[in-house]
Amino acid sequence: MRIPTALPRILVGGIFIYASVDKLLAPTAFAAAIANYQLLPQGLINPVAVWLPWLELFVGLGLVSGKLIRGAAAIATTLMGIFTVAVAYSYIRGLDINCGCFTMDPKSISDMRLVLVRDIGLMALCLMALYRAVLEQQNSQNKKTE
Amino acid sequence: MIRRTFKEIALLLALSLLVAAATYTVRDDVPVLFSKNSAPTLQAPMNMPTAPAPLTPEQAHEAFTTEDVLFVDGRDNFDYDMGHIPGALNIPLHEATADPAILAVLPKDRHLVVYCSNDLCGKAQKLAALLTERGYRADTFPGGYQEWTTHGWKTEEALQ
Repeated sequence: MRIPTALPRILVGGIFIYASVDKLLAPTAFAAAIANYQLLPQGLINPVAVWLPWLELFVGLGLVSGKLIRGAAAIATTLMGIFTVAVAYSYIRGLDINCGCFTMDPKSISDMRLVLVRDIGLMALCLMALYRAVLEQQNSQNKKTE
Repeated sequence: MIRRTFKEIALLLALSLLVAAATYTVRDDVPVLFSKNSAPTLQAPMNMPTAPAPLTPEQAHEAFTTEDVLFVDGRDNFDYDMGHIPGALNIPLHEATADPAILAVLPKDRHLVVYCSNDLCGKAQKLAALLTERGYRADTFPGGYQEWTTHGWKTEEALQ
């Protein structure tokens, strides 16, 4: 029973950690990827390019290790929501850009529709993780009060 | 319960912000980041002799009515089917990049004008660059299909 409850958050956490690595290694490419979305004002691009990978890493570590899981799951869900909206909006505007999601390689496949489907799937997983994180913590609180 | 969640969120945000700020000061490749090319490059480099020229909507329409130009639609089939400039050929950019051989359907002796959705979509520029590389005479219509329809000019649909 314990393992299935923790599974979504560990999965989401792993994905977040994996996603953060390439961005941490190539902040310049990630900044360019963010700029291509043409959503953020110029002044915010660099700070976000530096901050977002670390946030993803800490959220991922939290989810995998089981520390601060409600906060981490909430942030993960919010981030996936923002990513999904950004990708959907870019697709509607007809932008053909590198997603900047997992790899900064400009040659990576950039079919925005695939990215969109993947993001929606990941967001569902995040919501599951969030729901189960709340359950997990409630369970442990109940155990304490008993 | 909700307060604790918010505390956790704040803690994670602060922690990552702190580490990010620390790396920002320590790493020397970070301060330059995105200062070099501050805008996404949509235009082909101007030093290329055959660089595709961007046409204004009026120029595009004039070419459409008076010249023997062939319009090339770089959007996906779906968008093309929903409506396109009359007579335009559909060459989705992703198909052309995956297999440039499909560009062979385009005549080399005609003036090509490549367009996509609007000036925010980079497909027309990329496709035009691909074509000029292969010796085609290709210009772009950056305003794209959106600009075309706002002028109320004639369009064509594949799906009725």
